[in-house]
Amino acid sequence: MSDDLQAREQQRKRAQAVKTAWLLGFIALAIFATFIGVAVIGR
Amino acid sequence: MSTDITHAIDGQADPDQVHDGHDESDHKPKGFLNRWLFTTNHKDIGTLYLILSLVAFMVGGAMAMIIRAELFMPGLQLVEPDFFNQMVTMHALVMVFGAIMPAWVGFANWLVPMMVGAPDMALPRMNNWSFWILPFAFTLLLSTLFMDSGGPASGWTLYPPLVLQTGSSLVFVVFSVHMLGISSIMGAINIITTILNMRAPGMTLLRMPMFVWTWLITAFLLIAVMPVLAGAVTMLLTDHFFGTNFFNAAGGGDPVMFQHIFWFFGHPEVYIMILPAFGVISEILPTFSRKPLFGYTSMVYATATIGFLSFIVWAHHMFTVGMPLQGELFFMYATMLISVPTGVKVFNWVSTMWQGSMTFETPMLFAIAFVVLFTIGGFSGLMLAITAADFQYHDTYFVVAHFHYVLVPGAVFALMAATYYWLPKFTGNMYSEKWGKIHFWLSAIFVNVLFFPQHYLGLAGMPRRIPDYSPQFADFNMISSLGGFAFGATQLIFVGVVWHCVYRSKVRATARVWEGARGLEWTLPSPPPYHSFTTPPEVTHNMLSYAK
Repeated sequence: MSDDLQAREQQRKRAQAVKTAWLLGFIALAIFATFIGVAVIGR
Repeated sequence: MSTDITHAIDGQADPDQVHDGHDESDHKPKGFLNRWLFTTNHKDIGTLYLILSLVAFMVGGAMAMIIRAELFMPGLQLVEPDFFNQMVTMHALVMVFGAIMPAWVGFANWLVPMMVGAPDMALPRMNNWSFWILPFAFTLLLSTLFMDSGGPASGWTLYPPLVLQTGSSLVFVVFSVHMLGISSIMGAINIITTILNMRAPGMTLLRMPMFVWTWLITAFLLIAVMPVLAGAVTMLLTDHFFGTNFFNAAGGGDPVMFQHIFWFFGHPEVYIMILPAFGVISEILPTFSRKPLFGYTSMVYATATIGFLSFIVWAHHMFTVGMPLQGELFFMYATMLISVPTGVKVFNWVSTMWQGSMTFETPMLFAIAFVVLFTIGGFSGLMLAITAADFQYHDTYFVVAHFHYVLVPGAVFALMAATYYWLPKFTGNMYSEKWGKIHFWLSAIFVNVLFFPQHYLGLAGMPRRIPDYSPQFADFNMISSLGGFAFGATQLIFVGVVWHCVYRSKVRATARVWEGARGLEWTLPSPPPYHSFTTPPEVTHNMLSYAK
């Protein structure tokens, strides 16, 4: 694999990783909000 | 170059001659601050995590010494009861959040990118942030001990209404727990994205080393449960300072609800601390048995099963609160079910060693001790899972003995094993095998002197979290304290061995370090270059001796 191709492949992987990270971050926030929300509604 | 690496792993080339072609002069940033404060390098951040963890072990260990000194004899000896309760609480929080968890994240930082053939973690700047939140969070947490209202004294479970008596320092405790949670979630996101997105070509999921697999599942557990803890402590905060009544029975709230929410976090937390240990043991036993891991695929499925089951067993911590019988039965059977995948793991570890060409270097000794002693902790857990019996054991020293067997000769021994196993790779120097073995044998003896008598104390009815006790418990407490002091002193040998290995050792480590070691990290020189695998290796076939 040429250096150019490798660099592009790394960039592609990192871009995909950023998308995955946002998704996981939203899941974590949603869990936090759900637990507080359920407790508030339950009270 | 990738061909070289493939050959090296297959044993057809000398790995000492093989690296990823990167200049060993490295590109380390110049200056202390640039190197350590602003670093985005996974190895540097891993080192920072491991140093922080070692400091936390010392701080948490000092608190344990205070606890055992007070319990050396019946009566109040050294500290006030309220301070004793603060020590019990802080010892747990520091050991769980400051020592064990950061140590595993440190090893993950060092090893996961090298094991999957990635140049670094997927999100290096966030990695820096994940770490540097921690020292501030811990300083804040420990500073509560010096505040007028004192630190939290409710035990690490932070149960209301007791914890709501903490006073104004509670706000700092809650804030530090929030920061610890944010750090853990960011670390977990980084590990998942690295494993899912940054693997080298050919590194399929079922070719990954077990340490990577166990960390992948651990990271998902972290993302699922740390927000739950954050939610629980946020509600504590509003109950204390803003007049809400989530857990205040007088205002229509329910303190038992906190217990449900806490343990929905707390039980998976136990597996967050132990799953990476399973991964480490699954790396070390094959190396020193000179055999592939027995039942790799079943190990992966067993780990995933344990992860799943950890979410549906939380109420076994609260059998005595008065749940409906159906609930108690469900949580009893669900808890017992965990012994099936755990049994698969223990069976596979023993089968890995069976008829292997075993040698007993320090990492192997710690790994074998882990298998034996963790299993004792597992068995006492099974006893506690029996609802009817738990009414007798609940809140006694039997519980203390149980979870310390799981966490000390379990998680901590696995950390020791991992340190002895990979430290030569990290530093390029061999540690002193003689002192490593002395450290092991003293640890293995005194950890049992420390914790085994606590089973008897619990069965005889001694409650946990008390500074004074009935004279009938004196003998076993004295033995336990003596074991504790000796175990604590023994860990100073560990600090000495690590320091010697890093700064003084003259014996250089080879690239593979251990004859039977398999995996991409062993194809790099020892120590590995600052930037490794800038050219991804190609994993073309069963090069790891693990899987199909």
